Amino acid sequence: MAITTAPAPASPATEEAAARTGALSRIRHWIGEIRRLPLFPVTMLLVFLLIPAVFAELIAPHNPRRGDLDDRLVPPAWSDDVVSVRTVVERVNRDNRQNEIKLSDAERTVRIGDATVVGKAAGDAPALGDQIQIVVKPGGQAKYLLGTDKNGMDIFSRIVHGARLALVVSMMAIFVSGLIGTVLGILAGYFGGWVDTLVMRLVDMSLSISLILVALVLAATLGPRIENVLIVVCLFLWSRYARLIRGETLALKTQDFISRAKVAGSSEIRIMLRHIFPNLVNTIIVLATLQLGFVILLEAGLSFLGAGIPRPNPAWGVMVADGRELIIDSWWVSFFPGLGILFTVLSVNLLGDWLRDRLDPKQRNV
Amino acid sequence: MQRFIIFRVGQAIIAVLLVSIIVFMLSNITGDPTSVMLPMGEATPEDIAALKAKWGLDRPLHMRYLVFLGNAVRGDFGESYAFGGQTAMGMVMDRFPATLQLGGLAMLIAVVLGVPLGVITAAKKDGWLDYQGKAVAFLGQSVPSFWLGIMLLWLFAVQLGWLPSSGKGGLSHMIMPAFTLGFFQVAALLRLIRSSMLDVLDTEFVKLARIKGVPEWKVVWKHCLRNAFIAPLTYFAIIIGGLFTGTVIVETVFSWPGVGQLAVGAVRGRDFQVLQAVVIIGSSIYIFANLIVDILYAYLDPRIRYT
Amino acid sequence: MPAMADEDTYLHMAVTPLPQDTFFPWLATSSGHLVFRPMWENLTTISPETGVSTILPQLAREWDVSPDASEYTFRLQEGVEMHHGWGEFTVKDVILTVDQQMSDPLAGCKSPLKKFMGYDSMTEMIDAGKMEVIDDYTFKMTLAQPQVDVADWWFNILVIPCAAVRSAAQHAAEGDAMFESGPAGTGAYQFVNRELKEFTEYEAVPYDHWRVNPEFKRMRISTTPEDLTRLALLLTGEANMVDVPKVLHQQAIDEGMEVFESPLPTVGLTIIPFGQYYVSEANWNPDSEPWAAPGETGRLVREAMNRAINREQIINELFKGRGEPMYNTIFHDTLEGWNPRWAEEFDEKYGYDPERAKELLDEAGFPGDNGQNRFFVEVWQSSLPGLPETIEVAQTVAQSLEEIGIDVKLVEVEFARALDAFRDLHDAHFVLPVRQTIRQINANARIYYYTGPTNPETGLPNGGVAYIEHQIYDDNYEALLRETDPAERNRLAQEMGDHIYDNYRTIPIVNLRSTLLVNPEEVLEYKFGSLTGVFGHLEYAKAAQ
Repeated sequence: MAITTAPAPASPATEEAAARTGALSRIRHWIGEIRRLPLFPVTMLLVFLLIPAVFAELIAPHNPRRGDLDDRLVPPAWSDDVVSVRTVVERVNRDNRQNEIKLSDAERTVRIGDATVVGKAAGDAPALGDQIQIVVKPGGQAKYLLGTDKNGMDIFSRIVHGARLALVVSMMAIFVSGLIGTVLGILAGYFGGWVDTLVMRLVDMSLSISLILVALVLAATLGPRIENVLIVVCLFLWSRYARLIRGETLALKTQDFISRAKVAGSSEIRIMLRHIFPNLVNTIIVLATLQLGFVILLEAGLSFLGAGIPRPNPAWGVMVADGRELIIDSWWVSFFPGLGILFTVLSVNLLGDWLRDRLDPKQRNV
Repeated sequence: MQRFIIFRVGQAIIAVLLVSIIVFMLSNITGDPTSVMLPMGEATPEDIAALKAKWGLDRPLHMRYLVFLGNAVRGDFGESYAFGGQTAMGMVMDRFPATLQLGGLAMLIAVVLGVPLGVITAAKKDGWLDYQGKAVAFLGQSVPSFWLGIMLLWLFAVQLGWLPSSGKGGLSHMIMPAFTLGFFQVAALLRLIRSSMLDVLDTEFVKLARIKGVPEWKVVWKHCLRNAFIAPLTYFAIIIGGLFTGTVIVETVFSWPGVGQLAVGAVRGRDFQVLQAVVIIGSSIYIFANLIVDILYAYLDPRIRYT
Repeated sequence: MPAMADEDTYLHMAVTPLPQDTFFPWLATSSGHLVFRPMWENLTTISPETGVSTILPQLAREWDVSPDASEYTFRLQEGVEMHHGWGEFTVKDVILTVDQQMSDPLAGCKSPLKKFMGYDSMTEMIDAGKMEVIDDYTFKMTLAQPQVDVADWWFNILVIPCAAVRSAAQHAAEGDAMFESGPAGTGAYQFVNRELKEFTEYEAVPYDHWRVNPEFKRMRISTTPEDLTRLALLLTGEANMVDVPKVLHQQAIDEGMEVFESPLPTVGLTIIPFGQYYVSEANWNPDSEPWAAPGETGRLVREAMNRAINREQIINELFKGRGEPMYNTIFHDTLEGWNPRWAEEFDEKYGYDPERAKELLDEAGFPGDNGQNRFFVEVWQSSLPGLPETIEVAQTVAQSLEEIGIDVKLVEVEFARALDAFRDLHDAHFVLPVRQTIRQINANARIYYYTGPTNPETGLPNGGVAYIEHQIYDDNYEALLRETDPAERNRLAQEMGDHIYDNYRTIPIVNLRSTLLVNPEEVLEYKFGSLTGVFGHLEYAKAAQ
């Protein structure tokens, strides 16, 4: 039983008042809880998810959907230029190739502006035997803190805006599935009988569907869309709420204060809303927090596979996917968005764990 | 017990049918495959009509579903749209061993690391090892597997050159994908074993064993572990689910030629025949694995049968 | 991996998977048949240096065409051996090949071949007296309708392997199973093993080949889906020749690999503002899209869209300079109909000038709110096989259009979905970058511009895909099919090209040379390109030792 179960009112007459003091004491209790929040996960959560999500426009220095082709794959701001000098030859000599460059390649790099011929005016065509200075790996630029991707989009700005996308999508998914699951769970637990049977069979169905396969089918038929992510997550998650809430409701139903409310003539809806639901809030909050990390990971995974949020939205999963092929030279394209996911999910999970231990230790196995 | 089994089997069959209806309808109402199959600029409307007749695309949807279902039951999911002359079923079966190998090795890693870690952390609760174990568990559940895979690739294939980057080959090709896939499972298993071990360690019969003077290692590893295994069984569904999701992602990251990669390729090429085969076969395996676990669990713990 | 055979030279190529892969060549559409290239030969061929402009003999030693392009006589090479001891190549093998290509309604060649042959197979033509087998090495065809491009297109290196010759004797003995067990052809390499979607293995023929004895005695073509994996295969020495996107080249060059480039551009990237359906107006509302509006309005809008785009930056940054500007969609200076004026006037008419673009939009009647929100356009982007940069090009174009005040929504789609929109429905209201293979004008005009007669029931054209429509294109294309006089052909093609260019019907971007990354310690030289892509002429690759 949840720690904060409402105290059973003394008599049906004072029920109303007791519910109010119950609410008040809960608020007081919550303030106390917030004061006790663990510093580390909450700070991490604020830094990596909430603050960027809310203040994305203020924090991000660039437009996350816009790039500058002249600044493609710029490394993080702290990297230095790597410059090398090579001799122009007809055909690269295999044993000495680090110091030589083929004439055709030399001409092209000079034309594009990646190189200059030593001792000649800028832009002059190179000739055999010339020394040519090539910036092999240009260094970072102050305006791109974490570098840019292959479209010349600022990775830092995309991560910041990606936080908002991740937060909005996963909160929406959790809210919708939580709502469906809670309503069905209470109905099933409270009424029992055929309602219970129906809901529980649906729960079994939902638990037996592999969500990644559903997601792939949706992606193939409807193309990558944000709605697909919501559908998949809701299909999968509502049943977890329903199952848990049903069990809690079953236990609550037998409590004295419910039977007393019934005797006092409260309607069924009123009992469910005023007496059962408030006692389930802790459970729901804990489960929602525990699921948040999972949903963020799932959304990122689907986007990574091309079955989630479509380009050019700054979804973290898409950003990691875009950097995969560039990993040899441009590690930062994949690295930072992935790190963002890791920190966010880690902090959400730590917080969820802490909440569960405090509010609802029963869910330890979930 | 018999009634319970019949009931659960019936339910599983309905679930598979439901999946097949959803997949079939979705694949068939959103445009037909003719544009994927016919070459640009060479096809006339007559060609398209002939093609539709050949694939039976000119008949009403529910008729097509019944035909599809009848064939699917016999293991015939039709010919791949993109790979002429190949049956969808054959393509899935060709890829299946590779996925099984990868999943098997990942499970092995998960069990070999996860179970002992779970037991040790429970036995030494709040000790130094317990905190380390918790850290592993949290990391395992928080790190995106596709990113972990890419980072491993960068470190071991690109920077150190110790392991081949991807593709199928010997054991060395399997280490990174299997570890990536298994890491999440290690974390999940560790948590499950730990918490159910803690429950068991708290029971009367353990206390009794201790009083009787049974050595501590024997209490933990023999008496407790056996009982602690029952609880994780319920969460087998979660583990299998994670394995399914993980396989698709990991096979994509490491170009492992398994069913997951086939499915992602089928999505990109709108090869619905293959996609239908993968999803229906995959879902059936998933559903029936859960079914077996349910029955097993009901057998071990008769109380749950009637709830 | 198979063990590298001791001192045998071994060519291991790792390439992007083909969109389709099949054992059966008549089912192979677009690029699906390309891995067959090393083992098969066609009646005629092309070379990487001259491209489609020069047709060279291969299995056909020579051929005659009647002045009205309706009678063809082919004389075949004698003494060419079929692989695996299946005897000598004769006219029987040509007949089997063509008949097989036409046997399945799914086969890509069926309807165009039927159109000019007039029958469902060569065998039927012979029975009807329209084709005559003069001897084992000579045959004569009388076509149902004049067709100028039989030798240079349909029997050449094709989009579809209509005439990549295989063995009639083997087919008589083994039936279609031959394609899985090891089909015999006449090329310098013969089939060893194939695993669909994985790899194909070949070996040099064990006898003196009639054209060339390859330096690489064994060859393996692997299809590997991930760019990074292919690059890694090269860097670890598992493969010695790979294709990867140009953005990855530097990583390999730093490791000492070399970039081989096709002598001619092989593929172009052009952007089609869809919805210019001036011939078949099904599903088309002339007021709905500014860029498709008839007359001056549409022309001004399209000029503005063209001028918003910085082609030089796209070529240099996205394609690392390995391309040249495309001046007119489907036209090229090596092809019929080329007008030098298009290149000379390009800067003046199409050059990057966002300010001028904004003025043009004002002039066209789309001033927007202070030059913003002028109108709305969807830019569709899809990853095209062999041209991964398309995604970035689409994003760049979207940005460029935003910069001149157009509202843009980028939509990521499968190319097939876009194909549905314009092929089946004629209901495409978007801008889409498309890939353009550089090939004969007839071939591309049919795909891009030919509408054909309209189906009276649906109101949709019968001709297949049309990107951009106009009566002139239909008329000139049909005339081109019959015309054999080079000067007149040139005039017809040029008239079409002028109309497209002067009315800004498309947004041409870049013609690209194909590239391969090669390990220079193992591969000395390989010339490739044109329609055969990176798979053509592998038998001429030179080993480094």
